Amino acid sequence: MIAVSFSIFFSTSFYIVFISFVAFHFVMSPAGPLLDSMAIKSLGAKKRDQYGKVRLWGSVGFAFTAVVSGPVLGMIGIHNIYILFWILILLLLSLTLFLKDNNHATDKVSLQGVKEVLTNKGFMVFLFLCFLVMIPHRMNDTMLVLHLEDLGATTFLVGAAWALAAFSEVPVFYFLTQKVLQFHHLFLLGIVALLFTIRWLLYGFIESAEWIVFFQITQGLTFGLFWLVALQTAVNFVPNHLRSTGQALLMSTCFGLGGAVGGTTGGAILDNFGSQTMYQLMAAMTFLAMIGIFTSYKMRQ
Amino acid sequence: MSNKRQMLFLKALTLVNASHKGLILPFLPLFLSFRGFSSVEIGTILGIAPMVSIVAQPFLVTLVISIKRLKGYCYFYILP
Repeated sequence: MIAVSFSIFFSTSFYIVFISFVAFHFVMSPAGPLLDSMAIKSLGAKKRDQYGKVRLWGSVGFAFTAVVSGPVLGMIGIHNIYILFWILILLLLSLTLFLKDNNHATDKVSLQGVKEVLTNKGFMVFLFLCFLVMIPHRMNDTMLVLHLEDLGATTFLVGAAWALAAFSEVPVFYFLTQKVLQFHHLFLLGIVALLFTIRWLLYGFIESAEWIVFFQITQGLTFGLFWLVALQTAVNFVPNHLRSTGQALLMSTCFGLGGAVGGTTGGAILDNFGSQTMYQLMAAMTFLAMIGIFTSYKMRQ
Repeated sequence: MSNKRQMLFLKALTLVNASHKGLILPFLPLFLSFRGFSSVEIGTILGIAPMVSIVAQPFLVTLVISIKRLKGYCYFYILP
C-alpha cells in the first residue's frame, strides 16, 4: 500500500497514476464490507439493530478528516498530502493488530452462493432499483467538487461540503437503524428516491455554492437512510449462509457499477451540457426510479 | 478479548477507515490537478477505480475469508 501510494503521489505519468490507483482500490475497497460484516457478526442476531451505532463512527471519521484536512493541507501545502495519508495508514495498521478474528468460515462468498443469490428474484429486483438510485448519487460524488468550483467555491468550502454530508448521516444512523426494520424495504426505498429527487432539483437550480454546501445536510436523509435500508435488506433477504455474498453484491452494484456508470456519464454530461443540466437530469432519473420502486411495491402487495 | 472490547476496536477501525476516504475523496482531485493532470484524466482515474472494485471485492473478500485471517489482510495492506 505504501509502495502504491508512492507512485500515486510522486508520478506525473497519467498511466502510472491510473494503474496505481486501480491497485490502491483493489486493496482498499474490501476494508469497508469486511468491517461491516465483522460488526454485524460480532453484534449477533439479537443486537443487529445496533449496527447503525457502529457505522456512524465512519461518518464521524470521514467528516472530521474532511474538515481538518482542508486547513492542514492549506498550511503544509496540498503536495504534502501523502504525510496525512501515511499517518492514517499506520493508525489503521496498529488498530488492526488488536482485532480478534471471529470465525468467518460459516459464510463465505462462493461462486455457488453468488449463483444462488442471483436467482433470488426479489433480491435482484431490489438490487436493480438500488442501482438506479445510486447512479445519480455517484455522479454527485465525483462531480460535486467540479460543480462547486464552477460556482467559485474555495477549498475550505469543498471540505465543508463533504464534512457536512457525513455529519448529517450520524443522527440518521443513530436513531433510524431500528425504525427501518418496521417498514417494507421497497416503501422506504421509494421515500429515499423522492428525497433524492428533491435534493438534485435543488442542486440543479441553485446558483450559490454556499447554499449547495448547506444542502449537503440532506445527505443523511437521502444516502444515510438508503444505506441503512439497503444493508438491512441484504441481510434479511438472503439466507444466513449467503449473507456476505448478498452484501458483496450490494456493494459492487451500488458503488462499483453505479460509480462506473455515474462517474463516466456524469463527466460526459458535465462537459457537454454543464453541471446544472447534469443535476436536473439526475433529478429526472431519480424521479423515474421512484415511480419504478413504488410500482413494484404496489405489485408485491 | 471481550465482545465489548472487540466492538470498541471495530468502531475505531470504522472511524479510521472512513477518515482515509475523508482525505482521499475531497482532496485527491485537487492534488492531481495541482500535479498538472487534466480534468478528463482526473475523471478517468477516479471514475474507473470503483469499476475495478467490482472485480476485486468478491474475490478479495473470498480470499481473506478463506484463509480466515483478517490480520493477513492488514499485512497485505503495507506490502504492495
